[in-house]
Amino acid sequence: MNGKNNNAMGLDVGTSRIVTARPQGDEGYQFHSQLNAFVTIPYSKMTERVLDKEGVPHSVSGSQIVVHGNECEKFADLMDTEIRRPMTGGVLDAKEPESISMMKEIISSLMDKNAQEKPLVCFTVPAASLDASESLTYHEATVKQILTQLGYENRAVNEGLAVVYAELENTNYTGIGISCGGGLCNVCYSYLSVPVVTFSIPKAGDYIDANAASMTGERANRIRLAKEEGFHFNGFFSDKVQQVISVYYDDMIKSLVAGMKEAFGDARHMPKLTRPVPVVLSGGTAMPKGFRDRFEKIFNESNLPIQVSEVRMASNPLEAAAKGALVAALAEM
Amino acid sequence: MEWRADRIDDPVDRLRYLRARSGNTLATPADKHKMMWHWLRVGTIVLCSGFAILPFRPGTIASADKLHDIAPASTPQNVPPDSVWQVEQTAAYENYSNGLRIEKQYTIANSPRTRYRVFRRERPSMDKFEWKTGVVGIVYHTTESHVAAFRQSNTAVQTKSDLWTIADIQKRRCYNYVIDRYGRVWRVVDESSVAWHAGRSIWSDAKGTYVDVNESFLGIAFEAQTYDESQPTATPAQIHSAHALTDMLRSKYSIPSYNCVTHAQVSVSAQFMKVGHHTDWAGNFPFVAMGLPDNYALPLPSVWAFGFDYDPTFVRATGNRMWQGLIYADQMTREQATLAGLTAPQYKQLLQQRYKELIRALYSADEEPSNER
Repeated sequence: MNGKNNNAMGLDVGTSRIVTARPQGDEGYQFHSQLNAFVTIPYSKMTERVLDKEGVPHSVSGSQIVVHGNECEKFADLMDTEIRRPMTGGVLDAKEPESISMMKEIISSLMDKNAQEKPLVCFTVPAASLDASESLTYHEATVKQILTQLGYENRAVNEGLAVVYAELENTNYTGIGISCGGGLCNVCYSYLSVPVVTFSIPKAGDYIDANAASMTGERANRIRLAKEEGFHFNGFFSDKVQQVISVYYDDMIKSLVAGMKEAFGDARHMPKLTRPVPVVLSGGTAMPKGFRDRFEKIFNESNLPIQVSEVRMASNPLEAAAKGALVAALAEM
Repeated sequence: MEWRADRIDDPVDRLRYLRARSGNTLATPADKHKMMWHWLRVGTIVLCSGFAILPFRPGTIASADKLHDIAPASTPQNVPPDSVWQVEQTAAYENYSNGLRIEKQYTIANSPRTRYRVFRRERPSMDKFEWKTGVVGIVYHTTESHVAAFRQSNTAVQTKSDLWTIADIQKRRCYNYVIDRYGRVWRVVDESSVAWHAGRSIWSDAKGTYVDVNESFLGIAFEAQTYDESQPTATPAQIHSAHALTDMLRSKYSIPSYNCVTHAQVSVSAQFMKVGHHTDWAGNFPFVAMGLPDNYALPLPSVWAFGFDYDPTFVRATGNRMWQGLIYADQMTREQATLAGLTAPQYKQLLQQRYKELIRALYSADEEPSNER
C-alpha cells in the first residue's frame, strides 16, 4: 500500500451492513462493520442504564429506545419482532421515517472519534438498475450530506467498481466485479480502472429471504439466519427451508447472468479485449458454500459475449467493497 | 498505458496512474456541489410531502434546460511543455531554441482572430458564456493529399507534391501550419488569423466549452494520408517537427496538454448528430511521441454535453485508441440519463436539442460562418 498519506477510509454502505476499511500498517487493512438495522424498545431508565453499561449503541427517541447496529438483532429476537432497516433495495428507504437519522447514528458509531485529522471517505453507491426505473441521486446525496455533516470530505464510488479496485490489481483493474448484497446485486465491467458497464439487479439477499419466508411461513429474519448459518449448494436438502432458499438463489443467479447478457450484449459499449477477463464475486449473499460453482455453471451456459479467465470469490467477500472504496480514496489523495 | 501500469508496483499508485490517464477520477465536492443541493432540496420537499421517492418520473422532462447534468468529474492534469523561445527571425524563416525552424514563404493573413464565446462546461447554452480572445488549443489534421512512398527515389516527386499541397492549402486557408513529409514546418495562415480547419466542432476544458473552434484553436496539418496502410501516417521527421512546433505554440500561448487534440476528436456532423464527421487522426496520432498524454482517453464533450452519437464506421476508423474516451463519454451519458429519470435515448435527444438550439442562437447572433473545411 502507498505509504505517503494514508488518512483515508472506505465505507461500504450496504442494505444489510455498513462496513468501514482503514489502512493498517504498510500493507494491511482494518475493518469494522455494523448491521444497518435498528429496533425500538420501550423506554425505561433501567434499560437505558443496562445498555449504557454494556456499550450497546442506542439512542433515545421520545418514549422509546432505538438500538441500532449489531446488537439490534438480539433485541429483535427477544422482543419477537422484525428489525427495521434504513435502506431497502440498495438505497435509502423513503418510507422509513427514521432512515436518515439511523444511518447517521450507525455511520457515526463506526467512525474513529479520537482521530485528530478526519480522513477522506470514499463511500459505495449502487449502479442504476437495468430498467433505470430508480433514481439513485437522492440516496447518494443524502449519504454525502451525512458524511459532510459529520465533517468528512467524501467521494462516491460505484460498488461493483469498488470490488474491482479491491480484487483486480493484478489485471490493472480490468475485469468484472460483482457484489451480491442484501438489496441489490451490483455488476461492474472495468477496463483499466474505467467502469465501462455498470448495472444492478434488484434480486439479492432480501429477495431470497422475503420469498422464502412467504413460501415457508417463517419470518424473513429467521430465513436470513438459516441462509447465513447453514445453507450450502450441494443439490440435496434435508428440509423445506433449505430447498426453498436454493430455488430463489438459483432465480437470483439466473437473473444476474441474464442482466449481464443484456448489458454486455450491446457490443458497441464493450471494449474489444484480446485477453479473457476475471470475474470476482463478493458480498454476503455470495458467501454460501458452492455459490461460486453454481454461478460459474449458469454463467458458462449463457454464452456471454465475453471471454472469462476465471470466476473466483473475493479474498474476503464481506469486506471487498469497503476495501475497494478505501483503495479509491487512497488513489484520490 | 497498460505497459506502463504493469511497471508500477504499488497498487494504489497504479490505480492513481490509470485513473489520471483515463480522466476517470471520482467526483469532487465542487464538481457535484450544485447538483447535490438541487437534489437535496427536491428530496426534502418530496420527503416532507410524504410522497414516494422518485424526483422525476421517466419521460417527464421536456427540455434540456431542466437537465442537471454534470461534466466529467475532473479535468485531466496539464503536462507543461518545455520553455521555447525565438532565436532568429528573417523574412523567410524563424528559428527557435528547441531547433524548430518555421518556413514563412507561403504565409498569408486571413480573417483576423476576434473574440469568441466560451460556454459553460456544464449545461452549455447561449444563456451564459464568456467572451474570450486568443488561442487555447491545437487541432491536428492530415492533409489527405497524395503522398509518394517515403523513399529516396521519390524525393523529386514528393518535393514537388509538397509545394502543390502547400499552395493549395494557402488558397483554401485551411491550416495555420503544415508539416511536410521531410519535417519542414510551413506557416500558411498566420497565427493571428483564423484558418478554416475544424468546421463544426466541439471541445471542452476546465474553463468551458468551445463550439466551432477555428477562432480558439490553431490547426496543424501533417502532409499525410491516413488510410494508406502501406506506410506509417507520419514520418519520424514529421513527428519530431510536430513535437517542436507543439512545444513552441504551447509555450507561447500557455496551451494545456489536454487541449491538443485531433480533428476526429472535435469534428461533428450537425446534420446527422454524429461525432467524427472528419476522421483524420482518428486512431493513431502519436500523442506520446509528441510529449503529450494520450488524449484519446478523454471523454468526448460532443457526446456527454450534446448527446452526439457515433457509428460503427467511426469506431472502426478509431482502431483501438479512441474507444476509451467514447465509452467513458457514453457511460456518463447513461448515468446522467438515470439521474434525470430518463432512458439514454430520451436523454440524448434532449442534449441534441440543446446543441441545435445553441447553434441556432449562436449563428443568428453572428453571421453564419463559412468555416467548413
